[in-house]
Amino acid sequence: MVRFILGRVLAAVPVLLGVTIAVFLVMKLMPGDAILARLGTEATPELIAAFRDLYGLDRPLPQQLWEWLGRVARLDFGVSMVSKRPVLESIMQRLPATLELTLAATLLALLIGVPLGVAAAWWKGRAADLVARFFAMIGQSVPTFWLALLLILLFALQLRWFPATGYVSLIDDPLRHLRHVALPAVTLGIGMAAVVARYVRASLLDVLRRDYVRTARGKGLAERSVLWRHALRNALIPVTTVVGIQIGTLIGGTVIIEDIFGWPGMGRFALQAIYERDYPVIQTIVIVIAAFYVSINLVVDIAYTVLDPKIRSEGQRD
Amino acid sequence: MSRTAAPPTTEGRRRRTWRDPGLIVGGLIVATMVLTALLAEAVAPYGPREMNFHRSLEPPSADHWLGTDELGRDILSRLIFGARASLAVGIGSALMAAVLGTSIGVAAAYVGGRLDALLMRVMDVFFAFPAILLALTLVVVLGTSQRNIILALGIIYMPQFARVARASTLSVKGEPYVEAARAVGCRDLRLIARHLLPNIASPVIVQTTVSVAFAILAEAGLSFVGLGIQPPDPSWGAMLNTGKIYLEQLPHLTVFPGLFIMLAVLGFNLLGDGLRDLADPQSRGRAR
Amino acid sequence: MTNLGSLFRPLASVAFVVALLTSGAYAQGDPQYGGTLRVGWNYAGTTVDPHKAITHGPDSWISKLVYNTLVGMDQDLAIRPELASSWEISDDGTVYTFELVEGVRFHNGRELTAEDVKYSLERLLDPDTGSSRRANYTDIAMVEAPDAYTVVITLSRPNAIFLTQLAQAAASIVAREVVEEHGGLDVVDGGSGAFRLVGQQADGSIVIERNPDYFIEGLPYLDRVVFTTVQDNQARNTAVRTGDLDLITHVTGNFISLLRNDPTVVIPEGDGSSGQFYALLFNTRRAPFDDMKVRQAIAHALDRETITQLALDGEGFTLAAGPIPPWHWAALDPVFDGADMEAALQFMAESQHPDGFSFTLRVWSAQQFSVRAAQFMQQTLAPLGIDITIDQQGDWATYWAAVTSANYDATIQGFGGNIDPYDYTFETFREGGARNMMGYVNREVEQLLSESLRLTDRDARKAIFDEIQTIVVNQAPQVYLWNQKQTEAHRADVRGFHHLATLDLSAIITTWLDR
Repeated sequence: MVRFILGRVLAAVPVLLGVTIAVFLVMKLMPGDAILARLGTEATPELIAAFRDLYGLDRPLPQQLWEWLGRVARLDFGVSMVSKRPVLESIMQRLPATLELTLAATLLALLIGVPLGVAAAWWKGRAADLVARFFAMIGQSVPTFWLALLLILLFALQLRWFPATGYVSLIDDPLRHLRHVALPAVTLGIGMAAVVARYVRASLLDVLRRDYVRTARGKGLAERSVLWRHALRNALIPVTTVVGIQIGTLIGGTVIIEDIFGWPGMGRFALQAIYERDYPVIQTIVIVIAAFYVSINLVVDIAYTVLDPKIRSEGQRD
Repeated sequence: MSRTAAPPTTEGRRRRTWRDPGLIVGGLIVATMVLTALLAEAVAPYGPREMNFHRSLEPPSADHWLGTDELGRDILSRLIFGARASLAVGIGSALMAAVLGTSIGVAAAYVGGRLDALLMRVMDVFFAFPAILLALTLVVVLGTSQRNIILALGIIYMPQFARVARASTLSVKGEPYVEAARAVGCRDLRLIARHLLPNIASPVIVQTTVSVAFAILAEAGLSFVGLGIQPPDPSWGAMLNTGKIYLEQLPHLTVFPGLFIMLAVLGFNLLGDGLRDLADPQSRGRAR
Repeated sequence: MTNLGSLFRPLASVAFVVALLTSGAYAQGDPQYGGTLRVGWNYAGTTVDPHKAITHGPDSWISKLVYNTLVGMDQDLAIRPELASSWEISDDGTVYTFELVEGVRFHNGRELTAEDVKYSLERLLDPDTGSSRRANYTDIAMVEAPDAYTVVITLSRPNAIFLTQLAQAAASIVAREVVEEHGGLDVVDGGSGAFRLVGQQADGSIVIERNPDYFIEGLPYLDRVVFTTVQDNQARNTAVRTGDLDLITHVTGNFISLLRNDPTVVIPEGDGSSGQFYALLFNTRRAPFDDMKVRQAIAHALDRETITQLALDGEGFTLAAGPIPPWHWAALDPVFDGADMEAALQFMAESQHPDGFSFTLRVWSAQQFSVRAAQFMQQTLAPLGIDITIDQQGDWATYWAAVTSANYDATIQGFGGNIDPYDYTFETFREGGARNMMGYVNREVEQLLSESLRLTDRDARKAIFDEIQTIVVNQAPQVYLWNQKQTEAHRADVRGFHHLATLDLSAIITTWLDR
């Protein structure tokens, strides 16, 4: 068991390393006059030279890469070209907001998606199933930024039930936090709920199909309820994999929604940094999000294997 | 902007049938959209850049079925021409991702061993990248032309194809007829072309359709934040962006572009799902 | 010179306080103390150093609250006392003697004296400080501080608008020791104003807090003010409607009527006129805009009335001649009336590019009115063979850096904070001017500008500015488009705020919250 976990952790390291190197290379693609754009009118030749020196842009590429990796290992991600503050510090200040949003959206998605998926499986082939799958389809297809605008129009501007922008931390004031996180969480949660519902339905039906064969001669309703509860438990395990991936994707995908709702998280920070060509910030956010993604996948992987011994023995991982 | 494959479809004893409502509806939507985009000049009542300054910001009327925008351009016409941009980006990037990703996946599975491990590790790195941020950054770095957007999105969706192609290839690789063909000295490339590709075609086609859906959403998102198609070229996402300041006064400027985006994505999603059910009703797609 | 300072001082202070307080604060009941005002604007300044503030915007607006100047301007743009309780001007107009209010303290506790005024003005004039406003004060030959509360400023020539210039944030009085200790005032507080600078927060917002020792008794009312950048117009305007922000700036176009119709939001009195002009700027150092005929062709081809209507949803005044708006006393009579394509074609034929050319028009995406105007121009200029590519830039700093470093063909931009016709023209047309992105050089105009400062008679000055505007309209380094209505909007329970045509937020000093 321990060997398995260790093996998984070790496998994750090269991925993170790869991301770090890739990020470095992508930033190297930036056009040369980006520096001029950042410095603007203050760009005297001395200043440009000092700038290049600070960011090590004159040294050969492999050496730059080595220095970059060294700094990353020391968790030194440099300073923002805009605010002149340490990048990691600025990101950590905004991370809680994104995590709170992700948490709220995930909870919402599970609260909606799981019952929806179960219902669809229970009434498979009947009207409820069709309706549930229809809504799931819509939920997956609707553009989140459009949904955000519609929700703002209805709930913030017309009904004034929820604020359209602004942020209150969960720790500071849970009730006000709920009011502020409501609309953005719904916007993000609906898409995720759709995916969860589809997976729950499919997984449940799959498990039922296999187990049903074994208990083909079910002795009435009581047996069927037991069957269902057992099936549900088994079916939800692979779903956790999906949820894990969704969370990982969500952390990196809140960018546009955070911007619309003025949610001061990492995503909005990233968008501003992209507009402003603030490369140190962009690089670091990408690495942080990738780290989250890899870690979550790692946890889900291990949890899945621990929970479902059948998978371990089948050795079906690629 | 999820790149995950669809869930396992276990419909039990579902028959292979073309009569699946999802497939039909999806197919119809996609067909309509493609036709409209191709025949835009004939279908659209006005040109996409045709401004009529004295008739700006009008609500839907007989002359302009969906109203006019802030420069007096007909919204319906712009939506129709916008379909062209969305499809160009959607299909272009999906095809690019398909070609690149499938090649990598097939190569990895076919050759196996160290190459396989290396390539899949590289794909893992791609997967770990936050998709939206990568797209935004690439577009900002490369420039906001349609070609660059297709390039950026193609790169982002490639790893998913690699995984699908690889998994498919692996399952086919072990088949006895493949072994037999190799035994009689069939050359690799020929083997791949004649035996492998037709068998992995189905999952790749399905994945392509689904990728188009995601790419359309992605392009709309990029245009929404001003990093996609530039004015005055029509783009659904950009129309949402410029229309949103009139959210309360003229909601139709926001409602219609978003509706079109949703319909397009829905169409491709339904089509993709339908194709998947058609091709392999019992197949257990990978959970990732 | 007679010294009536001792009489004027207390009278002037009273007058000052009365002027401030009757500006609206008492209109709705007694002011309450306390509270935090949350302000939203559309871009963040880069420094809070008053001598280095670049634009008439967030840069200088904070300075007006954290620092004081010798004189100030009231709501009608008349000069009123501030740090100087009274002043006298010599007959030849070159010597200004100011009597300072006693007992004004910097935020670090030290009393503000004449020496500080001398130091501050000299710092402003020092080329090493790098002030972009410096050229407005170069008429100052000497600043003396004969005693602790007397300042004598000697000009090399008379300057009709000198007092107005002294009221600008650029002429703020700063504490020398703070400058020397921190090497500058970019992030620290060296002022004496109604508010103290707390600093920039992690999320980018700027916070200022009440100065309990402000030299005007009873002010300010607010405890704190937080300035947040919300670039997106839709988000910012929605925020004030839902109460997430208390006050927002840069309300233009359709948002003016939208917010007016919202009962929970108040738009301050006035028609939102602002001393701002928007124009199409040409980079005259680059082809094809080094050719005057080309510029004149474009100037004649554009229908400014329609552009204004489209860009601002009608909330603006068309500039049919020069940069000075039609409601201003120095406005030039309209020159252009709609689009004159015949004349435009004629100019093109006479130019070096008779068959047309292509260029890139840069705009900042947050200025949707500019994006619309750009698309309009693209359409209207096409028949002249002119092919425009619109380059929409998402970030202000990057966009402006490109323009100020002459890395552009043409752009659409506005310039505000203008009161006197000199403000509209000086920095725009003088060689190397802070607003002269066009690279325009015209000695005759510079000569006329200099002359205008020496005259005090309004009619005489108007004649000069008519001449200046006629020249620049003809030579067209810029094509003037509109003077937009721009105002602020605030929650109904925000009291005592009023709109200033200079667009700055000094009214926050008398603002209070009715909560």
